[in-house]
Amino acid sequence: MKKRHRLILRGLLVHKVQFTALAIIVLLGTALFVTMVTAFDNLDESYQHTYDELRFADYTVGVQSAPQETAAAVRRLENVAAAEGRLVLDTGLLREGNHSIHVRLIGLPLARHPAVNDVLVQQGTYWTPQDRNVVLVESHFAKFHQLSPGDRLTFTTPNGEQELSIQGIAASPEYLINAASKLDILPSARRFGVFFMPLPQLQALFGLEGQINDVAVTVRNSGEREAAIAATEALLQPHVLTQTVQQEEQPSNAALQLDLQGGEELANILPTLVLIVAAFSIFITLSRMVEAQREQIGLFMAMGYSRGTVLRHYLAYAALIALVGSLAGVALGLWLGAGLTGVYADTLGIPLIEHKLQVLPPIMAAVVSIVFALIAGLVPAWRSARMQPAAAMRRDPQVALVRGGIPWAERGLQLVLTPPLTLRIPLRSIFRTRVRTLYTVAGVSFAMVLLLTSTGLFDTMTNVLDTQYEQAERWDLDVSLRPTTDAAIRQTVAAWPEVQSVEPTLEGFGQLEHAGQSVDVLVMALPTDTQLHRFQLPDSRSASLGNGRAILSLYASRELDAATGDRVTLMSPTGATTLTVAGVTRESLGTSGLFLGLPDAQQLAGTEGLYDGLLIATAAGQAEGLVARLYDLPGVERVSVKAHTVEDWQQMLRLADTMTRILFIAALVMAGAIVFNTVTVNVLERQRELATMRTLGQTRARLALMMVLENVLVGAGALVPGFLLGTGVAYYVTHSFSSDVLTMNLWIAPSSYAFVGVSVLLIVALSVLPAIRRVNRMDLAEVTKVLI
Amino acid sequence: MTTVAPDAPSAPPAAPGPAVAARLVEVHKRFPLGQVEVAALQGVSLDIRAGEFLVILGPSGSGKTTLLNLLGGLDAPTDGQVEVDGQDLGGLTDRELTRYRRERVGFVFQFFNLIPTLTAAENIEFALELVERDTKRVAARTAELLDQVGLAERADHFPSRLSGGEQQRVAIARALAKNPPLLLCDEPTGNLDFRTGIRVLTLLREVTASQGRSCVLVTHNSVIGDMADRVVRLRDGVIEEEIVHERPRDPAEIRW
Repeated sequence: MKKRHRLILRGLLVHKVQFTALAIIVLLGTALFVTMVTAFDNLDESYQHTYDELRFADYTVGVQSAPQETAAAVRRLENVAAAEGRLVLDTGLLREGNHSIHVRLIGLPLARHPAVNDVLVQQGTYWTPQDRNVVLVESHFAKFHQLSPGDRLTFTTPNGEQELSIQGIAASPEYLINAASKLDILPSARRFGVFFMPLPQLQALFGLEGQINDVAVTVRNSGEREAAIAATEALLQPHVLTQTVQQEEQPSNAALQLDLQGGEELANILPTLVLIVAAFSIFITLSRMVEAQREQIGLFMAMGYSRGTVLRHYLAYAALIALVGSLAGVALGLWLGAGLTGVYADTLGIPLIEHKLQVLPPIMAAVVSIVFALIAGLVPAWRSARMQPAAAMRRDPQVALVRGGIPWAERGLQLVLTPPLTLRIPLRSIFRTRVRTLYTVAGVSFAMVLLLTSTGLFDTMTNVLDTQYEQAERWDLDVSLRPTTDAAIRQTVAAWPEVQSVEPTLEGFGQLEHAGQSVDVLVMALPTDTQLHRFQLPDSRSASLGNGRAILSLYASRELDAATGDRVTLMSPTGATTLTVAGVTRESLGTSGLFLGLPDAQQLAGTEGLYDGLLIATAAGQAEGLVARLYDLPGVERVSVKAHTVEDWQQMLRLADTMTRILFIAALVMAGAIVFNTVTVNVLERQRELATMRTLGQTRARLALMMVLENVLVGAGALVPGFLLGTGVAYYVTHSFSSDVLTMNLWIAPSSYAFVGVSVLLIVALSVLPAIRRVNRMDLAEVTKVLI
Repeated sequence: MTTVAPDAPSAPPAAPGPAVAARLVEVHKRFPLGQVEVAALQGVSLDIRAGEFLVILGPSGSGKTTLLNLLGGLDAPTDGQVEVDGQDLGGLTDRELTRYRRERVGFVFQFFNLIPTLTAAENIEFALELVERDTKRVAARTAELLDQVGLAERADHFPSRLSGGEQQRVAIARALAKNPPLLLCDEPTGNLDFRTGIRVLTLLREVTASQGRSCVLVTHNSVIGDMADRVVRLRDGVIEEEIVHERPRDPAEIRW
């Protein structure tokens, strides 16, 4: 080994704490990148694997009713690989408290597994032709309602209530996310479940013997899918087509893609952010190391080493940090990635997990880390190589730190206050060593960026729910009514002593058009003077519904490029109507929405006085107690308790929550490493100065206090740029997480700013202590004599 | 000039004339150096008299800086006693040693060791404020010291804007700030050119003679010994020779 290389290794030993801290920063950046990318790739592989294994349909074609044999005709079409005729029926499942849950029953072949959209039986068994009155329950529903094989359930059928026994629990590629429809923005097993049963049994229960209403198809060649769809539709046309759903539009698959898309963007942005911060930290530390090693650099060159050699020496140091950090990061990332895949798969309910050893992401992460580190090391290394040997070897490099006079800012400060020595010396040092102060401010700011981004994501998610359910939705119970319900139900409920107010509502779906753009919307009609839904309008503006005025959700407004005052066209099953946008509400959840005045909606539907829902505000803590009583009323189809809905959202946001927690832990460790590194350099590069002070009679305690004060003051100076930069980055990151069902408007709570500020200052104060301990232990005689 | 035989190892010399400011009794100092132990001082006994200008000469590794560090309370002897004003430094706690350095000794280093972020005046004030709280008195004393070392005009200059000689004069002013009875100088001219070195030595001599303090100056440069009241020559950790100058030379007259 060349002496020069040995010197690098010995340098590492001398600065092992700083080296380790820098390597940890690179390690975390790399690990975060590898973890998230491999977890998402694994997840992608897992659901693809699930789709392949369970033969997920390329498309399904719905009809009103067709003979069972029709499926065989579809099977014979060109380019069709397999087709399965099914009966898909929505009905109710009776639960305790006499209330009914919306369920979907799917009839599958009696004697074999379906050729398309198979089910994976996770508990119990698939039925045999001998089994009677059995169902397989879809896994999400079984898990939520804690159902097991052998349990008995009562379903509503045209022939009355029917009790069936659970034969097993199964996963389905159609319901990896158990969404009832594409507009079911908050899929929850609380409100919707899927059951599979032998086709003849389902046909018998509903009096549809020999009939199917859905054909699920896989194609041989995906390139010719359109032709296959056209042929299938032509074949099924006589049976009255209801809807054709292609794989991309399939509700579960579309929701899954949306989730993955949002998560994947975060998985790319967050590690990149961390690596950028890591690069800056390496830059700062290496710059200061080069400054501290001027004499050694001068000596190298005086001995005849070329500038190129000096450059390579410092670049090698940066590369070594990156190499050690990235290799350890890759190992940690692969391990964590496998764990995170499990968490994701569990959250999303993907039954077949596929772990593939991925080569590209780790290599990419390692290469990116090393390149980042080399770029970061290049400037200080270049600076070192440009030094003149004599200047570099000048006896006292520290003297060069201050070149000008007393800074004006400090002079100004002196005019207004004369602090005691313990504070005066730190203040002077801050003003007079501007480069050091600037580097410290930068280091602390970067640490704050990481902390604010993760706490910002946390707060924003919490705020989304708060805004929606504490500020916008002022009801406690949301009741869906069957179309035939007696309108007097409203008065009945209003008369209950626990009920404070009741408002009728009408819901429907439609398509909204403006300026050549269109978007599917959930139309919610409310009384024009609604008190139970408060629109979140900017600048405390007010807007009223009625007389053709509508309020748009932020998402719909963005999609349509429509603002207050614009006129939009609502296409509904009963026709088209033009509405004026009275305002845009900044509600974050279920964002593709349009709010109408109830009279307008009733006019559009053509039925005066029609409503199909009730919003109920109750006295505090009374909502849950009213659920059973509401289900006892005729016409009540579904009752949603606000607290449950919030829980469902929290469940849905678990993926983001998991990622945010990982980021927060990484951010905390990285912030600690960055600040520790910066502060350690701050103290150690002044060993001789501190030793001199002690030689002059300064006590250890006072010196320690001065160092803590100096660094905490600089840290405090970094709060403003740190907050600004951190808020900016947090805005970008949270914005990238928005989707069409979730608008993430950045919100960082004042307490989070306080938490980040105090944490950073605490880390700064604690980081000074090890360096001070070292300074306290130094040999005064040696340090004051020898140049450092 | 009188050449005196080295003291007997076990008996400190009698101290005729002025009082003893500091005393080393049978001092040994050993350092571990890797696997071996190096004896820097081997049973040195020495008295430093009040008002005396003592120069300690010797080649590298003779133990002269070690001796200075022991006197300054920067290091402790392995064996023997170091007494200043009758007080055994070995018996002092860390806090008492800090107080001792703060009040009883002034250091002048070869590399000046000025605090780079403080101006010339502030470097002096920094030392003064350890013992004096009245800011007016601190300012007045600082001005007086800067004037004494001839740098009144350079009070607001940072060390980076001072020449080596000027920096060393600030360092001397800082060492004198607390008016210590003992001044310890480690190669104070080692980093200066001849002319500047002479100015610094003249200053040191002045502040010693005029204010009755003792000054111990360690150097390689044997010519500097000519300006001392007494010269102690160390070799391999023992006093090899001791020379008393009845008429020390004026620093301005010496050449190297």
